[in-house]
Amino acid sequence: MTPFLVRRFASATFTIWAVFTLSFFIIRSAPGGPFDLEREPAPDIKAAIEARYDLDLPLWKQYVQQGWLWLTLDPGPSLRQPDHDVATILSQGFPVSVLLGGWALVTGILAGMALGILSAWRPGSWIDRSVVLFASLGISLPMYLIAGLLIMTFSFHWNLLPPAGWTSLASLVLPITCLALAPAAQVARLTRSGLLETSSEDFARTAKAKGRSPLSILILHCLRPASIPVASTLGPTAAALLTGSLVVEQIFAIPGIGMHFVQGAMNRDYPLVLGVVLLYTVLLQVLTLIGDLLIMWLDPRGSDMR
Amino acid sequence: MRPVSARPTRALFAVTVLFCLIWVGYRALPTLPGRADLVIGNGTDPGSLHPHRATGVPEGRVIRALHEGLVLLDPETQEPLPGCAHSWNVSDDGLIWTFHLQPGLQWSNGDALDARDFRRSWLDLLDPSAGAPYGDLLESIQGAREWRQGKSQRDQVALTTPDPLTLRLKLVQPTPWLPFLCTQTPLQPVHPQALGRAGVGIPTNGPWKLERWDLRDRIRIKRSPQYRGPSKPALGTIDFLAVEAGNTLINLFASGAIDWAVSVPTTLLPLLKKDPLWRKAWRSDPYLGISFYRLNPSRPPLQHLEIRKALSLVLNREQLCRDILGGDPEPAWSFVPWPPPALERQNLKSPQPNQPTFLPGYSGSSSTRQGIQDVDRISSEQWPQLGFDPDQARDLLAQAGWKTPSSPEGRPIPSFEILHSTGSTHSIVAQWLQSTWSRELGIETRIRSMEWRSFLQTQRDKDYDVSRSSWIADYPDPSTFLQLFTSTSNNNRTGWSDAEYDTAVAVALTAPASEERNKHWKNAERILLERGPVLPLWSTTTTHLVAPEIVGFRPHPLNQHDLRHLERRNP
Amino acid sequence: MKATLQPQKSRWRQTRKTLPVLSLAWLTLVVLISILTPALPLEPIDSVDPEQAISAPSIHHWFGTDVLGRDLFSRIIRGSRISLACALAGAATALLVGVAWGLIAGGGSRQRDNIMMRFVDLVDSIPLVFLVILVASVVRGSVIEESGGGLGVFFVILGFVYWTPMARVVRGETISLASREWALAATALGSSPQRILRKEILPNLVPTILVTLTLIIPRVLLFEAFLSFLGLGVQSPHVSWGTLARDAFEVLNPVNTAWWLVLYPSMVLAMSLLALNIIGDALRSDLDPKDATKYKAQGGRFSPSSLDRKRHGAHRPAN
Repeated sequence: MTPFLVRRFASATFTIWAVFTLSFFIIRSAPGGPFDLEREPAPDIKAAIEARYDLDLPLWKQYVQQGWLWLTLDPGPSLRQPDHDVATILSQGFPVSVLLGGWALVTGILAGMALGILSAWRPGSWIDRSVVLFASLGISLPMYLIAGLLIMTFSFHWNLLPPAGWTSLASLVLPITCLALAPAAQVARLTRSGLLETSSEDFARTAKAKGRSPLSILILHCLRPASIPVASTLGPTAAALLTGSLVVEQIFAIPGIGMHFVQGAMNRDYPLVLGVVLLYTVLLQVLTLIGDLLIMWLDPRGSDMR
Repeated sequence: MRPVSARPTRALFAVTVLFCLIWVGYRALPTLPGRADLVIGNGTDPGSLHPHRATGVPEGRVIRALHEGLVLLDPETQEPLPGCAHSWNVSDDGLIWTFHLQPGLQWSNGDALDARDFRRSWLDLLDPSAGAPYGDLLESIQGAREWRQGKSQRDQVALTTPDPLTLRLKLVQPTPWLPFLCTQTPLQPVHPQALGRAGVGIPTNGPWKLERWDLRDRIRIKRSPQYRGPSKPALGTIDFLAVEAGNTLINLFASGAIDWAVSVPTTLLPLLKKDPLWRKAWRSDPYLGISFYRLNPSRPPLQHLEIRKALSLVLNREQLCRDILGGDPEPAWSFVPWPPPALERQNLKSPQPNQPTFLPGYSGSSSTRQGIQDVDRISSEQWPQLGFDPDQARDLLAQAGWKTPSSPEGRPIPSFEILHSTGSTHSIVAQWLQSTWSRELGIETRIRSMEWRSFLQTQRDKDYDVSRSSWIADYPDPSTFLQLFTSTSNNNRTGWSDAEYDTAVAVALTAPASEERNKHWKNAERILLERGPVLPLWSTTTTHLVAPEIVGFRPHPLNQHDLRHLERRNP
Repeated sequence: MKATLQPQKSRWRQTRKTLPVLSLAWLTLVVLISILTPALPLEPIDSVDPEQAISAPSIHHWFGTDVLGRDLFSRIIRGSRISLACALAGAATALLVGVAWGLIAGGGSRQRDNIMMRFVDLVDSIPLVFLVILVASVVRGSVIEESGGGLGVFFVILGFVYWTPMARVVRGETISLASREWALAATALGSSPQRILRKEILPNLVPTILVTLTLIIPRVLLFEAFLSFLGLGVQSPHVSWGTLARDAFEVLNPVNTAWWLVLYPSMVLAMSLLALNIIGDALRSDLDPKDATKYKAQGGRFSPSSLDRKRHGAHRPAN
């Protein structure tokens, strides 16, 4: 176990460094700068503000400098919002994204598993078919269109939920639903195929011979081995959900960090972009590890972690 | 298999995760003490609330609520009113200005505020090493430009405080719009503790003070007890919500979560307009800005004057505004925009012909106050204008030997590229240009849209054929527009230079008498329209949705509504 | 190639299910229309008719018109052409890069496999949106262009994104196939590893690859729609289903929505993606020996659930 963890730690460190380096050089190669305006100031005035943020240094020096700042976890102020440090921006937005993404993840997995069990319980029936159809429909329209339609239905047609905002628990329902649709569909599919596969194995047949009902066999005996595929997708899905979604945050006016992946890059807010990218990468490494540990726990036989 | 024994663990795990989530949820959800008196859907989250660093309209709206400059504007007539200064006077040559401050002014933390704070703030704004983007607003002060170019020192700027309640400026050129400039965000006083940052706890001197700033969510301001200014605010608390998407603004307004939406997406205009209730909330006012296209005269075929002229002559701006832009903006036939005054727009559906219109900001009443001279009351009547005449355009091209639909034997006009920044309005207008030029002149064009920063860089590099642009006035005077295309301007970005134009602008800037100034500005405009690298399209408008409970909302030519005059009344 | 596809085809014929057949028919129709677009009597691409703006469906405009008065029906048909091109571009990149990468990684030494899959992990660790914006800004412009550079840049981005799931799936299958008796037998008979990969394993991968494609293509189309949302998609006057979806979102409002601008594009898009999913599902369950809907006892050549797992392992939502 320990050598496994050490190896994983080493490879995660390498990945994080590589992503940092790549991101740094990619964003610095994009044209335009953080202080560009349509009303352009005189060149020397603009040079002065750039010098204030060390943007006039040679690129490799800035790379080393940024790397060091991130190691000390103090990346300094954002370039677009210079009144705030990047650390403040992330620490204000990340809990929001975690809350939203976490709920979406939990609801997505629970709903997906329930649907998967339902459809594997009566394979080929109309329940099965409608579950499969739902699972496909949930990923057949762009998320923004689904969000727009949900708002029109629930906020304006039925007047049930606020259309946007970050004020009450009610305002979280629609964004969570939007975010949960894709993982629910995916988990439903995986659970269904996993259950169908395991239900034909010996232990399930034995249980059947003992006279257990099909549903209880599925839930008590088959679910655990069948959730291995779900667990293996958990890392990336969770990392993506927990770091927020541009579409959902924009449409529902939610102050998460998902927007910074796009806005930060568009605004050439270098430290902020590096911040969100690093956050995502670190989170991905951690969550993938958790997913792998979960698989080891679910399936003690196959401990091939290559 | 050991299925059953694992279940309690699994359940425990699930419960732990759920509890963590709920905990994070309560930590993350803001605890607000009730709804504010006014909730504004303010567009993008402000970049900086520091007066020297802010650039956008959403920032300005907050900053002007937190600060008070020397001068305020009358909400009806846009005439200067006393702010921190109770009066001011100007020498006969228009070069020496003296502001007399109110005694007993205070910052929101109780510190005393006097003329020295203004001097220090303004010098910090000019400071070349600070790199403030709007530092050039004060460059007409003697010694300021030299300092900014590294040729002199901070204390050589002719900005003095003979006594703590007097601020004196010596200018290099008459600047009749100086009182107006004093209402602008960069000229607001900054507390010495600010040190280049703004935020909760940093003292300001306005009617409200910053209470909380939840990033990308809301800014809440609260009435400041230290404020003793001339116009007491009616509203106790105001929320500025950061709302990025236009559709979301509309949704929030429809649900009553916000009282004031600061924009309406162009694509929704025709749909919302059909609804009488929405028409009531609708505030569409002129905005002293011009939406235009830059033409790059170093690119074929745009180096040919007749082609530049023809491209403009075939554009029916009336049709563009009516049919493509939802009927809101006013067509622009000159580079200095002449939208009819706001009041007139509201009362009459179409402006009456032959009625002189004035530059907004100085429209309406005829009385002038201290400092504002009659000079700026230019009428749009004799202002040079472009025409709409597709036949003349084709004739022009045919005479020069180009191929057009009416003269198929000429040499073909090379195709070129229309560059715009991403955005649905820009895209629609580019398509309109493309189809008009193709239909009327047989010129084929390609459209390219670019993400904002790349777009700016490309325009700066002059790496385009024709490109979308806009310019918003810094103050209501033709000079804010016409200085743009001198050969030394940072914002020319076309490479076009014309000695006669440069001279006209230079003379106009230093001319002491109003009649003369106007003559030269007209001359400059004429040269720009005849030979220049621009294609004016429409003068911009601001579109707001304001709930009926909010009274006191009046148009402002620079979209800088003074929140002091707003009130909430329950109908 | 043909010889190995044959049994699949015949097996497919055995399962006559209406839904997959309908799906296939719909997709065929879309492809046919896309190919025939230039020959169809559609409204010209740059026509703008403000007087007809936002008119409801009628005899003249079957699906109504949009804010600029353009015929929606014509636009949907034109859109299908570009969307199809995007789908093909995505499929082609996944095929070329992903299959080759997976085959080489899975068929080689364990060390090579390790290095190559680390690289895949690394690519998957960079947030996608971020990459796209930067690529879009570095090339200074739209990501998808019909004129001029063709679909070049879009192709590059898809290359960045959608080859990794394919590479993972192919690599997993290659490893599992290479340990099968017949592959071992071929090695014992003296075939070179390259020959085994090419002649024995690759043909057996075809069904897996097909199934993976039916999952990648919907994602490509959704991704194109996301780019349109950001304004980096197809440039007007050209149109794709993604831009139509964005237009649909833009007119959604609580006061007065032009329903036809929402309904028809959504329907076409959803039906196509659904069809792809259904075909993928059918294909998979058809190939799946253990799917309880069939209870067919066939020699298991691959395990679809492992396919599921690896395929989804690289799931990365675009937004």
